[in-house]
Amino acid sequence: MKPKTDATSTVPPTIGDPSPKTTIVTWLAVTLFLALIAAISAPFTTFLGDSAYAVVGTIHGLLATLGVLVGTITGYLGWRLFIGKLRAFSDLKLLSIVSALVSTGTIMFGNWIYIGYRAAGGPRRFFLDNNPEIHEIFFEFKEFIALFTLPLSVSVAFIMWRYDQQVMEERGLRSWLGIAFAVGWGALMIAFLLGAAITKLRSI
Amino acid sequence: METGKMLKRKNGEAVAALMSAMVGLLVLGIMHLGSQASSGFNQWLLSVGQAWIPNATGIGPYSGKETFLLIGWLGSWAILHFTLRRRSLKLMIPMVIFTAGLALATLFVYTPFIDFVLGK
Repeated sequence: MKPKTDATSTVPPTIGDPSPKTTIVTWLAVTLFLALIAAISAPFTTFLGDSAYAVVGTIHGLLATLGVLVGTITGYLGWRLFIGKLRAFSDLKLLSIVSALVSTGTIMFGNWIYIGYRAAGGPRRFFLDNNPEIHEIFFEFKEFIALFTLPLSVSVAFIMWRYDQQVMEERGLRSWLGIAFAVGWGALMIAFLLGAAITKLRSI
Repeated sequence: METGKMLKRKNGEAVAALMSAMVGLLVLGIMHLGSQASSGFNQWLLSVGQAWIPNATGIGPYSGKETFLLIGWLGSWAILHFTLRRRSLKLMIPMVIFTAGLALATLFVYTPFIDFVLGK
């Protein structure tokens, strides 16, 4: 009996090679096993601290980090779209939705943690007493520029899904979307970096 | 019979989506500028946020500014969508307005520029 062959593959199958499915299942099993050991043995809660906003702040930070990862890939694919050399159109479509969802989540948790930032004795009071420019220039700019990502990512995602492949055919629309992707990525990076820098100076 | 020929969607909906994002952000910038110019307006923005956002007092007038971002964005999107959906437009002028609007919105949330405008 002949072994099954992939019609598109030029590499002859070798008996005994692991299939992609076997590789992924094995990799997942080993990773989950190690993660379980780490979860049981490592004192992760000490990272969170004892602040009332510890969990909220952690979720905000994780979402923002995820946003940078997703946003950077999206921004790169947006650049490829802008210059008319995008091949991974379906990837960009999917990432545009993910970007919009991550932006929404990050802003919602950002709003929540902002209560702690403004609370009596919080970082805002500390900065105003010791170095008002940190709050008045950098934090104020950060809190607003972060909001830029929401309407831009949602509008871009709407267009990517509504117009689908037609986006590739219209040079003007491609250029405009390229600008929107770039501005969204820039806003995301500014908000992330300022957030990280301010947290380093005084966390909640 | 027209098989395989894709019907092209007019670009008005795309223009509406992108322009409304710019309008919302510009409204946000104008509200922030207004709040810096007048403490009474700042207080009014807080009351707007308190009307619907849980714990809005905790985030202060920012809640009202977010409210107007949403109203400006989604409101203008609805209006522009139904106005432009059956139209195909040349994109150069809207794209320039979009870019200039975003640049202004950015300046309106940048404290040194606000201080310059308000003569502080």
